[in-house]
Amino acid sequence: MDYVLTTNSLGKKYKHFQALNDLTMHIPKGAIYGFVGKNGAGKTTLIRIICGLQNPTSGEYTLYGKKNTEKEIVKARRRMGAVVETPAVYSDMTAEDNLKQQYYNLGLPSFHGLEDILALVGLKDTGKKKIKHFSLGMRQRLGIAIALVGSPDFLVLDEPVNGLDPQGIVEIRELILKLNRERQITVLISSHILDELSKFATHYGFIDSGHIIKEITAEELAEACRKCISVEVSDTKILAHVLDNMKIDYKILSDKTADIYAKVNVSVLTSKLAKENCEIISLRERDDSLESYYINLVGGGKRE
Amino acid sequence: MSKLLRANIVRLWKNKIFWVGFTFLTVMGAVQRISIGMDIERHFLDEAFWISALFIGFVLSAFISLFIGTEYEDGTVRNKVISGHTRSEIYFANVAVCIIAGWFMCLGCLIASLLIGIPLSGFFRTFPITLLEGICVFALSAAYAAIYCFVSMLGSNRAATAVVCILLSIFLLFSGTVVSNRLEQDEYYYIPDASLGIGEIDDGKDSEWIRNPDYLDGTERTVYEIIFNVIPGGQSLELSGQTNENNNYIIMLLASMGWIVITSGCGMLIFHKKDLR
Repeated sequence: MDYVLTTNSLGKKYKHFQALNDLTMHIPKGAIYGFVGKNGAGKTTLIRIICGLQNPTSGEYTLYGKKNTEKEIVKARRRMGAVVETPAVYSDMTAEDNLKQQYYNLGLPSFHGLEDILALVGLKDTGKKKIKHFSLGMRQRLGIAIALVGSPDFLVLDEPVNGLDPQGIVEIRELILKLNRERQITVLISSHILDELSKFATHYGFIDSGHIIKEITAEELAEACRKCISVEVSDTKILAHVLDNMKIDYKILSDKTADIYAKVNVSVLTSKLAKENCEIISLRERDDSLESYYINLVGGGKRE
Repeated sequence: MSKLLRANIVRLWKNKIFWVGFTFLTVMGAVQRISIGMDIERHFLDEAFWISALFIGFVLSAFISLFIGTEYEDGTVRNKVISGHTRSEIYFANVAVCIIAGWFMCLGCLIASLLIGIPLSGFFRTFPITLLEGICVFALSAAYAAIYCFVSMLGSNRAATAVVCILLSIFLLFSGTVVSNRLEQDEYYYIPDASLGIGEIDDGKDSEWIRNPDYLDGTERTVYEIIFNVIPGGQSLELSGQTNENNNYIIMLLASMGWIVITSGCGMLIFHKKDLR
């Protein structure tokens, strides 16, 4: 698999605080990689490091095949655009002037595509309005617009929907999906709004205490979060036999517990089990969200 | 670096503080020439011609701390790093644009001084020396820019950086004044005859000259003169015509270049290791 970014045992220490600890992650080309972790877990620190704003204290990372220790990493970084924490925009300039500054930074020969980028993020009609008079949502969108100048292949967005209203959140989601599908831009996006993230991410990385505890694809996550009925019975062997006969998908978890992945008629199942001398002790429907999956993963604050 | 320099110059052109500084120095140049030209005594254009040398340090301290500080305050320095520019390129592009800004301000003052000074006071008597002084003024302006850039690039808080830079500009000028005061001490005090009554003429027989213990001579004076020529505050006073010490233009030029090389070299090394947020 082609990876845009891989990190290998990355570490970052600020005086006595270990922000990143042996962090290893892989972002495949073309993915929308949801970067999930609580406050202070190390998400922004990692993003700052891969953007070149800070240097790791241990380990290494590879961006488009160039290691961070190589001089060519600077060239590799030209293929990325990023919004780190707050949008990096000149508050005493207009949206257009801010974009022009980025065109100059990149050394682009003309302002070709500037209007298109502004239209893409919905800021085409801001005219001479200074950024200091923009709402937070408008600033966020301008930050993304700046990140899009120069047609990057890899977009890094740190909490891009922070402070946005529901409409703004939907717009940003649609924008990211559009960029990923139409322009094949790989996206690394960190977010606290996990259910929102679950609507478009293709891969996930879960970070806790500066360490990636799980990397998983959206399919694998869907499998793990599948809607199911958890049952506790007197004998799961009998339950398995009955469910096989009923051609129902299931998973035996122990001698007495199992997950059933289908909508079953409880009365029918109970009577069939009763015929085989198997009792249902308890039965409950389970519908894991990304949120509950994450909470289970980090152990509600204490990880194994 | 040319890409960043171009971006910086475009931003400079739209920067209000730059234009305030430019206007201030231009007006100061004009006011200075008018006040000299209107004097009863006959004055020449050469006298206190480079008034910009006195104010450029203060003006640049405010301008640079806010111009560079904005990069941190608004986070836009991140865009430059992410765009694939090295830390060295970012640092030197900032130093370069600040030097250019200082030169523009000095140029504004120069043009105003010429436009108003020539009709009022005529042309220069000693043009080559004034030209040499001008070169020193522009070098001094570049040195001030490099010093304030050093402070601004290493601090991350715009308000704190502005306070530090303005205080530094006052300190630099004050240090020049202190050295100048030591150099300007008279060698002897004249103590008149105390027994003289009102209306009596002092014939000097019973009066005496006492040597000033604070007067600098020998090696100590030479050291003070070199320091005065080296420190930006001293150069500001000398080049703006506030004092008339032993002007050594070569030392001044070398000192200004030294300030630029030292502060930019150290600044770049520290900025290279700085964690940006």
